[in-house]
Amino acid sequence: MSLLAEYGVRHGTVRGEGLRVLVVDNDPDAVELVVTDLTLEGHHIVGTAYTGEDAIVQCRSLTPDVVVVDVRMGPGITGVDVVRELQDQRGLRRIVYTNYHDARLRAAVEHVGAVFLVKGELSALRAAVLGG
Amino acid sequence: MTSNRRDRAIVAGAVILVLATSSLLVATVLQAKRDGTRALEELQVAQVGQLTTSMDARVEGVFTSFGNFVNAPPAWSAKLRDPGDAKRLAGLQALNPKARTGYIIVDKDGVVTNGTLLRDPSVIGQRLERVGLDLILAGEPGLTPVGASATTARPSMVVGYPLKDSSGTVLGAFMIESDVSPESAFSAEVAGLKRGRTGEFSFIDKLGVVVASSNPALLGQPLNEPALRHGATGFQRSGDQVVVAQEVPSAGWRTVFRQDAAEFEGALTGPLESALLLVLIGGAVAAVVASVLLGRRLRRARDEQRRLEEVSAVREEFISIVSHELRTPVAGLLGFLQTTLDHWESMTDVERRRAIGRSLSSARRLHSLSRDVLDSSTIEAGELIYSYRVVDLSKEVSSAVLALNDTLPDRRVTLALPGAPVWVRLDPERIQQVLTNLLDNAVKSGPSVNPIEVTVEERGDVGRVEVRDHGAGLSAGELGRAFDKFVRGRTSTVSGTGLGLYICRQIVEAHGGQIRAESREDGAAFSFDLPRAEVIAPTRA
Repeated sequence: MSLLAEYGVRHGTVRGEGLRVLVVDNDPDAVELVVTDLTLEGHHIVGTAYTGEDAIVQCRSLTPDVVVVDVRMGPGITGVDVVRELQDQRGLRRIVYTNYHDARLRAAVEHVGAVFLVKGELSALRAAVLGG
Repeated sequence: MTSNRRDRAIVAGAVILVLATSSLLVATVLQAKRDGTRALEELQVAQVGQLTTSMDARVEGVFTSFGNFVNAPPAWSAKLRDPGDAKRLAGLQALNPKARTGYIIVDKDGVVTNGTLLRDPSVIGQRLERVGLDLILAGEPGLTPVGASATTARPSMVVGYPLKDSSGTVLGAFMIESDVSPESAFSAEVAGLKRGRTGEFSFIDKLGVVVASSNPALLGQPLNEPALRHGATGFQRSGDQVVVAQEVPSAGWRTVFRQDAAEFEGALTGPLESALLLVLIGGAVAAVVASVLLGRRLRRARDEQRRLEEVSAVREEFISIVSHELRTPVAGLLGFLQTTLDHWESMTDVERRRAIGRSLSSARRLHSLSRDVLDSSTIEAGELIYSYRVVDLSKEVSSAVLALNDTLPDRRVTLALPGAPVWVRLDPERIQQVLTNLLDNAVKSGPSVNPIEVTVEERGDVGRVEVRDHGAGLSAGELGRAFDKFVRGRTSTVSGTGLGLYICRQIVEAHGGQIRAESREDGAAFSFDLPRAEVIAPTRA
């Protein structure tokens, strides 16, 4: 959280612009990368979660503009479950950001109106967060 | 399921094949038995026929020689107590002092006119009661059936020859009694024809009475043989006996051979039946053995197939996992470099350093993963090369922990070392690999607030390293398979190739050591022992 606070103060909050983003991944390195990049892009990271269950709770309470979620996060629900569960939340852009290249997975994600992105190219994530 | 049905079909097919072969053999043996029995029957008929022909010739010979003798002058008178006839008979009798039977002359009415060795001399002048006598008196030489004798106490048959005058008119008959007894030369000869335990040859007269037999008990007795009623001849089966009969025309007899069927066929069918039994037993054994062996072999093949399928499935999953596991650090490495470059101006030095540090740790993770993947195949090929040195185990562990601190400065790792060096002969690069894997597992076992405790200690002949975490524990099943290939432990985590602990075990065991996993109250402990070096002499790198 110290990291979040640091970036938040220096970038998103200070500038008072960008979108409010929730980052969800069970891999701390992956969370840190997304947090770092999106913060430097001028967005405000409202929270981070390491499980799907926590992601849903935080989304309901923090009402972010964007949720970036990994697919497989340990034994609980998956990122696909998360975006499906949150499809009725108004004003929420849902992005599944994963290492799994799988057509069925992509179809399942897109079926519930979320964006499917493969990890590796940050510019694609930045565009998706902005709704591009 | 389908394979199992196919297996059963194959086994059933094999059994049917064996049974069919056995049946064929049985049929062949049975055919051989039938053919053999027929040949045996024909042989027996031929033998009886030969004996019969020979007997017929002998009887004919007797009649001929009697004829020559009887017809030689002086002529027989066949009158009551004719002294000439009496003298000739006495002369004949004197030629054979050991004779048991005598001669009889009867007139044309069958009245006894003279005789030798007569048991009752008063029989002279009386009619001789003998079946068949009338035929002889009708002018033909012949043998009478067995009946009561005039010259011996034993039953006898009579060889009779008609006496005729010059005009051919029958005057009477010349007769010699021949006793039916075991002592008679004829009987002694026939007795020699006994065959086996139950085989017997007999000659029976017109009335069915035994005149000679290889079974002395039958002599003079009627032969109660249903198969011979109505004068039947040839080969017959009667109850559990075989009967062969042939006519002896000159004597009016029949030659009869009788034997228990079992013994008759035994000589031939015995070995055949033994062979048949052997074939059946052999067939049954072969069928059972074939079905068992084939079944076992098929089961083994199926098991092997299933195992290969499992291995293949595990490999496919492994490839999918590895590709995912490799993408994670690649994404980290690329991402942190990209974000640093893209935001270079707006980032502070600290932020840049931190992002580059993250890139480095991702690169290290990538290195470690690719090394695991490459090493696992090298280890399996037995090509992993070790380069041993005697070093202080504590120092190796310290440097691994330092590297972890470097990568994850926020992670709390405590290190407990013994006071003195623990000299161990090891390959530092490989043991670093083991330590990195164990520490990496501990890091992944739970959230970053969980501490990790690393201990080095000397335990007798070995140096022990333990890495203890406070994350998710291991179930009993996971403990048992922790060091197996492709096994990804701890149900709460999904990362890892399932190769790390497998490689750790291979490396530790190559050092002559042991590695183990234990579940603790909260978390798990992985430890390994390495044999201490005998020569306590450090070699510096």
